[in-house]
Amino acid sequence: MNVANIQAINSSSHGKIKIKENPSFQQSKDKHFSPLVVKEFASACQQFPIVFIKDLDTGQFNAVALLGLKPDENLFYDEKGWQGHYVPQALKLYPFLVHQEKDNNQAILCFDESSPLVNETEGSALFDNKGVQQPWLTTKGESVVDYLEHTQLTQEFIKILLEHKLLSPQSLNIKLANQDEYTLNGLYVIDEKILHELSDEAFVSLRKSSALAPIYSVLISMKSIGFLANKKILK
Amino acid sequence: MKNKQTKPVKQVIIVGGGTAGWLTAATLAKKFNSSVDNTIQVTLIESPDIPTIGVGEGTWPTMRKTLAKLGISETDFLNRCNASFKQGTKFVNWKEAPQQGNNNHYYHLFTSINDPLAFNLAPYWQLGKIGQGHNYAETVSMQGALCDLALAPKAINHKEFEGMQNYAYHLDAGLFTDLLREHATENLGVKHISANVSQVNTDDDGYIESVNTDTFGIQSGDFFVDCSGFKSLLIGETLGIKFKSISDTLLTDHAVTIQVPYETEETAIASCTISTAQEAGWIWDIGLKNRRGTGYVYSSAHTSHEKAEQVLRDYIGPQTNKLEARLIKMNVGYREKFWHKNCFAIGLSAAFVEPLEASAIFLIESSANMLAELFPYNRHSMKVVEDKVNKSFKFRWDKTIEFIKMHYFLSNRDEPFWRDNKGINTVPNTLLTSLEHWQYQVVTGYDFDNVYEPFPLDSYQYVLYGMGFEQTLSFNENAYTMQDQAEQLFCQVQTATEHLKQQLPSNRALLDKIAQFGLQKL
Repeated sequence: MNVANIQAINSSSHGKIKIKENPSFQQSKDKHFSPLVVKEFASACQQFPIVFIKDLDTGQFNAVALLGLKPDENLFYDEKGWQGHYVPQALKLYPFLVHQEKDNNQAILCFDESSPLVNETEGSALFDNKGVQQPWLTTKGESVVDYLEHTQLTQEFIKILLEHKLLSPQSLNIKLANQDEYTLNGLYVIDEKILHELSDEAFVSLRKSSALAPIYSVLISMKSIGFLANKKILK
Repeated sequence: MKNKQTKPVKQVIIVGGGTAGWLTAATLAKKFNSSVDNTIQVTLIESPDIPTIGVGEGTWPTMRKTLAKLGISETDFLNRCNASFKQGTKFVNWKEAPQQGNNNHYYHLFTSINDPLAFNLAPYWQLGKIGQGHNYAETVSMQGALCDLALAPKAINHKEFEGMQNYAYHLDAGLFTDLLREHATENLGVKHISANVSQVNTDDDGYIESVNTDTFGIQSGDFFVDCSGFKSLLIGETLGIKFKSISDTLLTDHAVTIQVPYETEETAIASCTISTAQEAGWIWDIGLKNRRGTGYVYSSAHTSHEKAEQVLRDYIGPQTNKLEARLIKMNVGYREKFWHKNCFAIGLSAAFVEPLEASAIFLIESSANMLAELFPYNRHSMKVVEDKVNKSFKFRWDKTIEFIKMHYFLSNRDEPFWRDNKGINTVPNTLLTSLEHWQYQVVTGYDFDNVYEPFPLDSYQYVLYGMGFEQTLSFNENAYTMQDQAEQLFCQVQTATEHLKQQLPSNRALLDKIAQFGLQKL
């Protein structure tokens, strides 16, 4: 696994760079989860279990779609194309990301220079031969900034979940036919029992924060664990 | 008129703030649910003029449970009190004086690979069956290696109060008082009166019924807690309970203290309290997040105040020039009774011994907990509780003194202070008997037959073996047949040590992250 090399995009260093097409989202091959933002929950919940995991560097929670039932297993990845009808936005934005300057609110478009998609021969050029940023890159940049805003909204949603103590740790016991039983740890889910025991006041505040729809999407998504199990058996 | 003996207790008055006063106030108010009507009320009267003792910066692992029970977040506590993680004590030059400039040390740690009450590895190590070439602490614990590297007992993704190793805290005593005061008054329903007590009034039966304050009139109460520090305003001055000095057992009687800034913002924060033996006492060195707290605890009969301050300044090094020292006289000993009639003394008003094993705050927690659990309904029920509590705490203080004494008694140092501190007539008989027994026999659970034992079996073993206690088990060597199990555990210690060294952040790195992100509650 190569170490990411995040660089701010500029025409002097990256004037000749092209980004390969990535229809199979090859960077997700060995990843058993993908980041998810609240806006996506309704679409994603029919296909992936939506769970929460801790960032090991900060201890903070992130919302993710479970793509596999074992570490490093992505049941949706296939060279010929994604094996599902929804692709998490985060996978489509790769290898681009945004770095936010703390002092002046400026968003700087960056990319992972170590990505195998970055090369000088194949794919879409970042800049034209006059060093001007290509329109597709500008549009991509706007998508990335938009995604960053949604990441922040997702953090606010998670904060609301924590305030109401709605998250609980959950280990998944996986027992599939003809395979050893094992446990997937480090996951946190929305506790339906706690949700139902909330006071009227607390419940109304969830409604007012527009948190109810994503909460129910997450609860519905738990059914998708069975969907993943089937995919695993059929592989 | 209602019988005074059966009138239910409605109002508790705590005289004095500091760690003792506010920890007691919070514990009682939490237990009574004082923020609700029709419950026992807690009022704390704290002088705006009298300073707190200003030292007392080490705790036991029990403080994690205490904070959690009071509803204080570990994140808030760490950030507000400049606190750091304590994983044990490093005793430097206690076993013997430095040889040709080389220091010696051993660790008294909080975490062993297993509970020696279940299966004691000590005899296997003692007989050379496991851990050859390793000292006792290295054989049974990963924690010494973490302390060597100034690593933390947990990482940012562990929830509050949880860790990979058992841990306690180093904290800023003044800031801790501020945090407790705020939590007790804003969240737990404790009433705070900032005033000086000018007079304590007792009734015909010798019970305290009220105190006069300079700015808040007369405050009446049914039960009083004396947290007035060495002054012992209630239990000593008013109720006349005598102070029993233990200067015939433990010889230090003063402390000179200096707060030391870190050299840079990246200087490592130590993982344990460092206790360095000196000619006439020992120096404590506690690493908080923003500074260190140091102090030389010494006997004024064996050195002068000027010399003692110089020893501390030499220990600190060149930066000591700009730093101020403060001298504290220690009243070493305990009240003949801690509880008399309707008054219970907690903190320095009750007792004090040299802080070699950071026992003071632990005994405050224990006192507050015992009071809260056994809180008497009326004067009549106070008598039974009084006896229980006095017996319990006399035992606890005696055991604490004995354990501290053991550190001195086992030392090979022979300066006059050390020779005097090892003198047979200064040593409690119970300690002499135990040591004689342990010369040929392993420490067992049978040596700890009282539920109030402050120090567990393993603590004794860390100190005994660290101090080089001569123990010969060869007469019963063949009784130790669980070689495989012992080897497996020792192997686990070694593998786990390497694993933890990779996994755990430094104290400073973790505390910085906690300041930035906080610790999750789950």
